[in-house]
Amino acid sequence: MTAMAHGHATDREARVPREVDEAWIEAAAEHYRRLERCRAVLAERAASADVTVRSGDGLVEIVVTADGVFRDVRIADSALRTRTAGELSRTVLAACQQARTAAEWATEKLHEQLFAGLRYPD
Amino acid sequence: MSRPGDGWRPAALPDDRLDAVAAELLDLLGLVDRALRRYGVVPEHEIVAGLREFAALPGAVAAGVVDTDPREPWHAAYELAGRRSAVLAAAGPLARDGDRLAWSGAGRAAYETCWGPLSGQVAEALPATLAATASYGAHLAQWYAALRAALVDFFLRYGTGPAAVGLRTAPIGAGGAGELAAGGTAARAAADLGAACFAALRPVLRAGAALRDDPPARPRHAGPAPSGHGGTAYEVDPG
Repeated sequence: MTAMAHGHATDREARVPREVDEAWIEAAAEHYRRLERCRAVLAERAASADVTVRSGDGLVEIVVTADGVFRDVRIADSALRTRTAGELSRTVLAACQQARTAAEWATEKLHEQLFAGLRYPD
Repeated sequence: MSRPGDGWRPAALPDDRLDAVAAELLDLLGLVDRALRRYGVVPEHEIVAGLREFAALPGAVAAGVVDTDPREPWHAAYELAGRRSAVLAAAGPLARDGDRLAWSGAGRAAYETCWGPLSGQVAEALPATLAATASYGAHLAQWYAALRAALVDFFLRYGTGPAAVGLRTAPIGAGGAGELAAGGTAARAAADLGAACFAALRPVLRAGAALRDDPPARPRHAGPAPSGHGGTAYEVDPG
């Protein structure tokens, strides 16, 4: 009678896939460490890669790193004579937005160059 | 020998709330499993000990628990308890009639040779065996219920917490720099949730191992039994 109950429990246990063993754990830990190294490399390269974006009229120039840190805002002297403060503000804002998009693009390009063969088990 | 009363029935099961949250729970723990596979396991995290102990990913373990149905062993225990009551009810008159003999001699001796073990079987061994099995079924049902309740407790505590929200909003499968950057956070969130799930189930599973290895019934020898009726009864404590 108890054997019947034991058999029932064993059936239940069999439904849980026993996919995790020591080899799996070691491989998963190593995979995590490898991704950590990739993240560190990408972060280092992105932090040192400058992206420069100019406004359409060429009066404003934004320098941003690939990881999104704004490093410089350059405004041409002529902008102060030919643009109102409001116009200049809008131009700077638009250039900053473009710079952020460009930084993300640059990071993706760096990722492609560095880790073209990176695959995730799924 | 501790034995239940004649009218013993298994205690009612607690309310089950797992079915109500099972879909959300399995979805979350499915994400946990996927993140652990995809981003690896944080070394030195307590999830590592849990993975060694459970030998399965948290979502797979939870799916096994969701699959349990405490009502199955409970109904079986209830039915066996009813049959035990019926046997006990029949055993009384049978014993009175069987012992009330107006004859003696060699026929009486031959009769006693058969009747003694049979009356012991009907009055004691069979009810004890039925009680032991019913008790085991009742304990098993309560164990299933405790497992399910532990999973519900885990979900209520962590299902909408920071780790769960972080994991649900992570760009899992998106690829590129965004996924690489977010993968570390997702891996840690998955490890936190998986470890919490294991922690919730661990004490109940250990109790289940104890139930398996040392069921609430101990064999005792009931003496010779009539052919075909088995000879082992169990001391029971249905609790």
